[in-house]
Amino acid sequence: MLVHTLKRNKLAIFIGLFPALVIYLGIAIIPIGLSFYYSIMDWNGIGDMKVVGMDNYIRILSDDTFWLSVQNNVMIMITGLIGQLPLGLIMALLLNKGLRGSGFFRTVGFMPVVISSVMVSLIWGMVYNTEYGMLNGILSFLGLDSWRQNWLGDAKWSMLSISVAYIWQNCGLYMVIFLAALQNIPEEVNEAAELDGATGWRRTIHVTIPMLRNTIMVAVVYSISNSFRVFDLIQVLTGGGPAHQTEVMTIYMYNSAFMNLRYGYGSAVSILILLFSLVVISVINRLGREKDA
Amino acid sequence: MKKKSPLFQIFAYTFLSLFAIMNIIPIFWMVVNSFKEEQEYAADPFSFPETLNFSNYSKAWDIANMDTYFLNSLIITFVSLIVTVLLGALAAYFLARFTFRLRGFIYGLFLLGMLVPIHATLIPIFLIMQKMSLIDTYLSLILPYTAFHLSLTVFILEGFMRGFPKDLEESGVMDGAGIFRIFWSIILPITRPAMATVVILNFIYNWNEYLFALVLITSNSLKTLPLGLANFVGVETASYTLQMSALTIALIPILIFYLLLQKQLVTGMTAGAVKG
Amino acid sequence: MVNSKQTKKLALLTMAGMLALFTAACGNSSNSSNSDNANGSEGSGETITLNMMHPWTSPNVDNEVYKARIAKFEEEHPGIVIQQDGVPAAQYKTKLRTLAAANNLADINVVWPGADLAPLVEGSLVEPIDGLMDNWSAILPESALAGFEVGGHQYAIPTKQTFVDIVYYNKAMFSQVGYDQFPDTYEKFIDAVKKLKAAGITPVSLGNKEQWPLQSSYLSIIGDRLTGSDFLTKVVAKEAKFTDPDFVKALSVIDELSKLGAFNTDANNMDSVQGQDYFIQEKAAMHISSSTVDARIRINNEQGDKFGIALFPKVEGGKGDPVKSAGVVQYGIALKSGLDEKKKAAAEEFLKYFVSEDLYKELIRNGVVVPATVDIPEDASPYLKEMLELTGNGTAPVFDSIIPTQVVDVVQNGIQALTIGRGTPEQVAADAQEAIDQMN
Repeated sequence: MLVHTLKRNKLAIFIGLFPALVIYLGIAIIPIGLSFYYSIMDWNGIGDMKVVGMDNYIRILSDDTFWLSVQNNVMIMITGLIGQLPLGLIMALLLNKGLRGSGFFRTVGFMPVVISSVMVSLIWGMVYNTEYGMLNGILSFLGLDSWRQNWLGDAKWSMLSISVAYIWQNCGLYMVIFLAALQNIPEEVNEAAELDGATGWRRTIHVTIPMLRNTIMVAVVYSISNSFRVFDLIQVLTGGGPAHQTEVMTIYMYNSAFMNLRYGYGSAVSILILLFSLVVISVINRLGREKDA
Repeated sequence: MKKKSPLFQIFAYTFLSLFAIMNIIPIFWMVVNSFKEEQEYAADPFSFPETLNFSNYSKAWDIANMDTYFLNSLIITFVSLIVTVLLGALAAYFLARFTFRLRGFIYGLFLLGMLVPIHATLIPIFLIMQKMSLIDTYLSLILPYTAFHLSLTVFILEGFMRGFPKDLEESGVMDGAGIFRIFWSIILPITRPAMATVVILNFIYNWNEYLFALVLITSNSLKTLPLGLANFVGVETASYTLQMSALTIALIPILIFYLLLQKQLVTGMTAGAVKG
Repeated sequence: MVNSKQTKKLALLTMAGMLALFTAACGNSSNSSNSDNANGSEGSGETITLNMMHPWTSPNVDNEVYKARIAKFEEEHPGIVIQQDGVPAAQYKTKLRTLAAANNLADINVVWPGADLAPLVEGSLVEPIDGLMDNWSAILPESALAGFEVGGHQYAIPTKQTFVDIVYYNKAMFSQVGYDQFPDTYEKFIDAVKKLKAAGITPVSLGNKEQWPLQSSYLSIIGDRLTGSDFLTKVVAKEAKFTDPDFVKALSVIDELSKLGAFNTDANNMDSVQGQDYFIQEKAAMHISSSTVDARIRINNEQGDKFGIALFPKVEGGKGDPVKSAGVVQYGIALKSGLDEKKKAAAEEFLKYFVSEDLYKELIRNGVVVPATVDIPEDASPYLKEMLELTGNGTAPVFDSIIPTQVVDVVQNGIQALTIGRGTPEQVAADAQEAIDQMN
């Protein structure tokens, strides 16, 4: 174990962490502090500030629109977790088998991640368009005319439609992470499993996936943090509308701070976003650790 | 690799092909429209171009100021990426392989950066950069890119490094290698796929970053590509076809970069690592 | 185990990293020294550098005119350099507000009138230009300047006028349902909508994803037809209320249109450009939008003569003048406050040169409506002449140029909700009134 060498190496730890910490504290943590400071102010972003204590928070928490946006964030989070991660994992598992054309599929699987949000908006706008959209077109073709919907405009479907686009856009990210993790499973483990007679799906489920547990936790937390910060996709697809129906917390924050000139209020929302995601992640972490034990 | 059953092959290829089609169509559509006249696109976004307007590309290049912005983006992207990944990997190594008093606290601190909504930091970052007289310099972008992506980098790499067998460093210690030597010659090589992952992620995030570049840079000579790509949309007007030409150009470096790195993703160092 | 090759590699990489950082830092320092030079030479009276932030990045005709004008200024004033910061229009306000928060505006700024300008004045970030006004007294009517006047001082000069409420209509579709001319009363208008609908044609194409179209292009003029032109200012001055029956009636027009299914189903997930395209693709009989988009719909369109323009019709019992069009001046050029004497003089020189009769004429020649009273050049597009005739009979205010942004946000969401069958006009009016009451 390293523990005994460690004692002599406090200095090394310091040297190793110091540069990263300096940049990180100075540039990433101080703004969070400043945001907190603004969040207890009444400030339009220009001119004078006035301390108002918890006022902004109280107002936010009593605003129905805010809670609607929280609900939408939770929706994105859940669909992200049950959509992106398994899809990314399946892709990674398939592409790790040395199939012909793996390189090609690895590349196209990642395309949605790099494509510009302008294109995402145009494309999914055309998929979901009620009149000439591809989705409704396919439904009609299959004789399912009664299933046709106004996918983005109807509050019943809009969040679900956005979630599908969200999964499409991001599952390549998780594919890449899982692919990397699969390389670190020692060949011996697989060989041993094979000797035990574990093959195919059974081996995948009982041997491979448990080996990925660390990475799965990383992916879960990453996915949660992404889903609380989602902005572009929804901004370009629906702008948070119609009438706040697809608004998420970041859009709510942006509109307050930059559109409605309530910077203090917007900062308070950003602090709440941070707190919410922190709470969710620590709960998940605790659950993950319990399984560990 | 063992031969897979035909059933599995059919399933795998159907699944992958469907997925590939869903991902390729948008790009294909973008490229097709990038050759069209704006009025042609307005009249029918699904048609094929009557003539291939290659001139769209040179127009788009000019409007997006790619002469200067392209190079700026490359510099800023790569500098931030190198600094982030180097510092991040080092930090992740200590957080993952050592136990010390503030470990949990520092790890939590790094996590925090992944949770901040980026819009909230615009004004604070601007004020900080103003204090440091860095507004309108490369550093005013490199620093925030590095800082915010350190979070993700440390987080992912730490997750990977923690998973390695506990006796991994033993041999190095017995050889009398120092801690940094062990980091470089034992840990980093087996982290290669994960490093490739964070390098790709950092590259994309830096390459596409828009908001910080928007507010922190005012000189034309220092602006980055995403700003140029937004030049096509006015208040109630847009030149979608030209924008698609520009987006196609901007996609090429990412593609090349990903193609170069995706092999690293699946280059197992496993055997060597465990033997070590 | 540990070979020296790898150690070398580490050293190399570290060096590469350092070098990269160093280069970046150098890039900075050389850059900042450049600007130092520019500042330093000011003293010797050689070159003055002025920063200018503007949203003229997209390849529109008017943007080209502005940039050409700046270039010409620099040519004729060798001692002054205009360093342009072209910011993509969609995020222009985000940047302006960030810079304003840090008290770091550019020397010359493009600003929006009314509710957008007020906070900048309140924070003393922009400079009054009262002393220069003689320069424009002959060509700019008071109405063009009003939006940039706060507390009796003038803060900016507009370059462009936009009428936001132009009804573009498909001539063939209207004659198909028996209207050879655009309906001139609301009753006939609704009748036409119903007949179009019955004929299987989408009556109105709308792209309301960004929410402002229904507010700016619809509510401004429908409100004006019903309440008259001084209503909005009265609301701000607390002399009238959104809950007044006339305004509620204006809101119910939007409600009525939605209930009739007048808009395309995807109105709320299409942006304004997609809304235009839907009309150009002849999928709808009407599109209500600004005079600017005539470029896309008619001027640059080979088949532009398929489409006619009109104003929103007279509404029975309304207090407004039915020939008025809702217009707003745009792109006010404002100077930063606290410039030193030399810079201020240069900036004023620029302002006088830039916003001038020549600029307005050049804009008109390119099909852009301007706020100034200048002769229309012979070679202006016939479409533009038609537009100027249509809009030349009085100007109604645009909703969001008078009403504060927070309230606009509430109204936009409220009327968007009406389009999906949620809420009532009364409720929207009440919410809007509550929002304006909550301010200050």
